[in-house]
Amino acid sequence: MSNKPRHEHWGSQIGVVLAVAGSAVGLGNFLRFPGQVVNYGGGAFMIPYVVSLLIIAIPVSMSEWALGRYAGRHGFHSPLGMYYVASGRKRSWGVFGGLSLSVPFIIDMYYIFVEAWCLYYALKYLGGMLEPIGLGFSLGAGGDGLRLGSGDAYERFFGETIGINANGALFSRSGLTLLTIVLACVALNFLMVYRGVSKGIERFSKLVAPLILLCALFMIIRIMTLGNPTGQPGQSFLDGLGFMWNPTREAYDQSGQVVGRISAWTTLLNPETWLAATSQIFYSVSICICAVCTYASYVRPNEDIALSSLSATATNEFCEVLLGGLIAIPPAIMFLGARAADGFASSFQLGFIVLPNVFELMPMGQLCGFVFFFLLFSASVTSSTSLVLPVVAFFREAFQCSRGLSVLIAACIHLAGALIVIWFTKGLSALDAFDFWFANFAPFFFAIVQTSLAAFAWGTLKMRDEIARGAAIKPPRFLAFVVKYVSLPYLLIIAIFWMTRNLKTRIMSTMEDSVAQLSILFFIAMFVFLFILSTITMKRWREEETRTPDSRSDVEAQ
Amino acid sequence: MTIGGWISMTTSLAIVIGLFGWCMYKLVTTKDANAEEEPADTPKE
Repeated sequence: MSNKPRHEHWGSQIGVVLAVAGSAVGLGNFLRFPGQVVNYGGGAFMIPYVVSLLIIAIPVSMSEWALGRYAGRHGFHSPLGMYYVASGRKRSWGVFGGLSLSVPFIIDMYYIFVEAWCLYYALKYLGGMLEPIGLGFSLGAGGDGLRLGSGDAYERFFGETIGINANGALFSRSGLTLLTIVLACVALNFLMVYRGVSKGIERFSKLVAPLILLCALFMIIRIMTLGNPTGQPGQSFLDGLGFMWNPTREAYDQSGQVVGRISAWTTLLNPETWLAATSQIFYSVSICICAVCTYASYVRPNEDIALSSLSATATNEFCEVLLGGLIAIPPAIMFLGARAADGFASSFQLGFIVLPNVFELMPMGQLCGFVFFFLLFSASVTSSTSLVLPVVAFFREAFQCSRGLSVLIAACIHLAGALIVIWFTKGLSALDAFDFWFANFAPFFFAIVQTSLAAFAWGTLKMRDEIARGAAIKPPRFLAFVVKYVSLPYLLIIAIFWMTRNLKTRIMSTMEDSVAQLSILFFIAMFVFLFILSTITMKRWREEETRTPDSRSDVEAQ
Repeated sequence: MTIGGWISMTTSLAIVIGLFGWCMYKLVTTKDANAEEEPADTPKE
């Protein structure tokens, strides 16, 4: 075990908080959250959202921090080791830990691709290649070359940029720039992990977090000082806020005309609102995708993880509700009116089609476009880095190799998976399959597994003791009860409801889509690989523990 | 924006800003356990 990174720690508490918050703050905060609020009842959506924050995000996140730090004290930094040691060295639980690594591994394979889009757009705005020509959302028939002038033109530009019309489109001359940016993003992510948690991830997070805040503040000030830029009724800043926050909603037809009203009660009694709110919390706080527990495993033994956990969650919510709530929807309503609402359903549509239209019409729009996409890029880099670290930690433990070699192995496998996403871009079918199974389905599944581990195999009392270790404010006694009897049943109910709503349709569509089938085969291969590697690694650990029972005593004594 | 919109927005913002502010205050005023230990070091390969 001489190769285990036993002495690697975060440099400071604020450093780990920023790193974990940076891991959570991403596209979901700035694009997905506002879209979900608009589509699921505006202000009424916030009630199930806050409930999910209180009974899922905060307790499950704390239990994940506790699990990570507990495993880190015992010399383990990968989810495999965490599940193994927390369950009392049971291989059945360890296998689940090993398989859970598929979540960060596979999400990162397409997330870096999206990250590259953001940088590509930021560079385009910086270079003046998406310069405004003063046409509106649905006016005109487009621009010449890269001088874009309408919603159609931005949609066409986005499609061509990401190669949505044909598989392999990015491997032609026109796609080379984006491909180069993808490779640069991969290199940046793995380089930071190679430099280590303190010298790489923490330093970068400390640099990027204020930058994200500055970019967001710049955008907010610009939006709040626009007044009513079009002079049209119902398109002021307050109207934009109202579109997002009013609990009683107006229902629109396809032409943007009001056809009825939806009350807050109707919204709250709709189970889909609760499902959407819980999914958003999950997506946003990044719980149970191995990132938080891996980061926590590098926390020092007596650090206050109760405060760190709560601070990271609070920072993420601050960015999501305050910054995310103000940046995307209000300007879209101010410049494009209610007809822009069709573009709020999808994060990609909102970010890469609707908002470029807004920037075109906005004074200082080109600068705002650059700042916005740079903000998205910065937020996504800190998120994607957190997805790389668990995989690298796993390979270090499995292969007993140096960090450099582990980074190299992870990067090679990562590129193989990313190739599927980057090649099969037609209709974004591969990305959609990766996203559905590993950003929507798998986190719910592994959240149930991980919370069950904390509740039964590890024990909520041990979990509470771990949270209390070094904590200035002791965690409440009911935390253990909440994790076991509230969070877990709530997760189960939401997961069952989600599966009944989505699985059948998805399986039917997969049967007709060869790219989705190829993606499933890749996932199975990944599971088999992780299963075999986890089993071999745990067998070796058992043999070592039999030979030298006190091999970890030095670590446990910390 | 309706009164309901104002209420839901200000309540939501008050919750997140309050929680964030309290956490930042505690982070700044609570003694960092790291300061008492050795500085962050690189892994011993």
